Amino acid sequence: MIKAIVIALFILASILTFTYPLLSLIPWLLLLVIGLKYNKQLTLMILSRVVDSAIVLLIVLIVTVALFGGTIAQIKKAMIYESVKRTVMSNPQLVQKLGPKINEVIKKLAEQQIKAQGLDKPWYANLPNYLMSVVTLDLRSQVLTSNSGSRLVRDIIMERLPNTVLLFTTATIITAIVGIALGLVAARKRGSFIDKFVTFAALISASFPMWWIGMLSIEIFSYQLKLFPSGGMLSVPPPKQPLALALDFLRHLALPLLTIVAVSFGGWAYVTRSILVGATKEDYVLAAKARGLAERVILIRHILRPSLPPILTMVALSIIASLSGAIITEIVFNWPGMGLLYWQAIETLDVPVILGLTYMFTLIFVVTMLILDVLYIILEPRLRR
Amino acid sequence: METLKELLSYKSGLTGIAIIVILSIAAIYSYFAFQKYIALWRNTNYWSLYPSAVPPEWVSAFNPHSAVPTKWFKPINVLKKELYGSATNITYIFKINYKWDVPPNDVKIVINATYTKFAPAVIIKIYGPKFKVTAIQDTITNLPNVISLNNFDEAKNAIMNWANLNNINATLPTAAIFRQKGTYYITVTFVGIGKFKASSKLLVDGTVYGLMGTDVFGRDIFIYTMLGLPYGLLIGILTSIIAATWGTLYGLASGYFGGWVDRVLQRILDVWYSIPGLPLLILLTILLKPNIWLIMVLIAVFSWMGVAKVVRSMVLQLKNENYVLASKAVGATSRWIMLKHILPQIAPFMMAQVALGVPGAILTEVSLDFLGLGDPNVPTWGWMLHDANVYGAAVNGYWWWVLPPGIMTALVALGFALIGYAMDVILNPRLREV
Repeated sequence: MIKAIVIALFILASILTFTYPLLSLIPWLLLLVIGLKYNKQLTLMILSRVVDSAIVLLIVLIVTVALFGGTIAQIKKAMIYESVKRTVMSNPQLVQKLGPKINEVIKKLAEQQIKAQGLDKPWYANLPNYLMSVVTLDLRSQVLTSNSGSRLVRDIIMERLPNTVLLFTTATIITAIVGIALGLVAARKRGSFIDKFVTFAALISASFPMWWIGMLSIEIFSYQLKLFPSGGMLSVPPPKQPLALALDFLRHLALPLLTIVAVSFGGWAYVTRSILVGATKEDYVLAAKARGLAERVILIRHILRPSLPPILTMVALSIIASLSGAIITEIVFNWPGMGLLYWQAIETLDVPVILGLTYMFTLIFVVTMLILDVLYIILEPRLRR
Repeated sequence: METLKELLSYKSGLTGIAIIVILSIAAIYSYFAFQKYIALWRNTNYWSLYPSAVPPEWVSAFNPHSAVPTKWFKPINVLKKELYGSATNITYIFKINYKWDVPPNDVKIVINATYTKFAPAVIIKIYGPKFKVTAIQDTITNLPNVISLNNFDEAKNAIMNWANLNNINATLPTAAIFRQKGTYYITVTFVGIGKFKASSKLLVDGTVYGLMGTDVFGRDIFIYTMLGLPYGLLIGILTSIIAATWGTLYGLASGYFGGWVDRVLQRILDVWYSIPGLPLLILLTILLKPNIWLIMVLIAVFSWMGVAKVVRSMVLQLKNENYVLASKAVGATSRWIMLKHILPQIAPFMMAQVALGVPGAILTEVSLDFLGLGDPNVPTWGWMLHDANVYGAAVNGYWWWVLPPGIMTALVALGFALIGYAMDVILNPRLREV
């Protein structure tokens, strides 16, 4: 009861303070204090994982900035030059007064600002500055623009983020359900048709590139059978009725979704099966059988429950594998998410967008891993003590 | 040796080894048989001779009347005549038995002549069933090396004019000429003053090509699918070996020394585990524009962690075995113990890890090439699929361009995955009889 109230209060508090960066730290700190009081070991363990994740993010960011420091400096200089030009040009009196010397003055003003911000120094001197601009995605793209015409990397990426999350999350949930269910059945009926099918599907998961299966499914289902559209997220122009719009969207979603699920579920099922089969050979399962417990009880309490943490670990690994597959699958299906944006940025060598996307993918990746690890810590009774 | 024997007794191990052995033999063969095509990979000029994006020849089994094969013709006869003492006339006669309902994509005539003073003239005539048309009548200096009846203006205009005069309804010269089945003769005549050497050959660009068809550039898909094999195997195996070696050393050091070394190394490993490989690989390849060797190292950098973890846990067990303790008691150095007592024990596991690592390595490399970030001078399956995607192979139904590289990638990955699984079962008795 107290636990539920604490969790509810925490969720409420974090929603209320969501928009204020400093204020939103308070519920987290409170949670930390409560955690330290009630279960010190568990809290410290989770805390060290959070610190780890932060270190990973920082390392990736520093490497990124070290590699592309020169480019970032150039981009920032160009941004300053542009903003100075805009301020000068928006003052007609000044424009008239300066006449032909206007470009020289703009250059001088811009250089002053560049010096003031320390952009003429090497990248390591500007590390915090650069890090902040990558973290807040406050960079200007070189080629690509958002649908609304903005050149801010933040706008461009945020427009694509929901599409990727939608496709990938839906696919992962379906994969998880299908994979774990099949793994369960295969483990219970070893040697059956489903068991063989699971092994077969796992081999496909391990050896075929996901996006190649995507290309093939376009060829078959879109080109030959004409069942689904070959790419995109909505028809051009999109239908106006809400119901027709939803159906149109689902028709576009079907093929990429099926591709991701078809290639990923085998791995999940096989891993679930192996872990469960391993668990059924444990002595305590034999002991439970000897005690005459019902099969259902043994399955749930003695086989499934202890198998959850290792399954979770493998799940984390397969999510990682399918995330990189999904990046490229988006390209094949022309799905307007971050993966397709990556491709467009690579093709046009739009460095700011590439930097922003790398950071975003790292962030998504690290946060997913963190959540799974925390779940692991919570589910593993040996660690919870 | 023992492990290999045991491996062969498992169905999956046997299948895997059979696949890899067959692929390796094919790889060695194709590397030497098609070596000259490696340099021609990006030479679109060379391949422009051949028809663009046509299916393989064996589709003719389904529609025998409309599948015109692509074929080189050599002259059936060369006539040499001396005219007025100083002039020479050389005529090459080509014979085409045309037995298809549809016209070919193009007919290309290659002409070469070496002369000392005066450039010879070239006359190309086409004799069909009950007609004759002159396609080219010009000095060789005005003509390209390869004359395409459909695309070289002079030939195209001459044939289309003739078609109009004879009320032949056709949009392309080859369609105007090859209207019916029958025997066609094409003559290429060189007329020149003084001595000169000439040669000519003829290519019918059909609607089908070879074993696996061509891509939009006219490249032979069979040749490049086979050439992808040595590179695919090399990349997969070498990358995996680099990763497994480094992972083993890391795990060995971490497990054997223990204490703070272990803690620091495990911490680094944990951090490394949560770094997403593909985005960082993308970043690094954009910046470094690496060649194929560096790419292998880069992929290995992001895939050694699993090996390190397995090896560490094994070393933790092994280092407390009695023989290790005994060896330590008589004063053996750490190096000696690691090399003589621990490494031989984990060697078979390392082999399994190498085999299990190959699929991931090759899939990553294919993905990088697919994104257009790999080494562009190496003909790999990833590049084939990259080009196929850029030129809309899936949406245009060029299945012969999409299928071979993907299937070959999967075969290599599958072979190693099967070996890896079998070794896993052999080395972890708990998994047996599952």
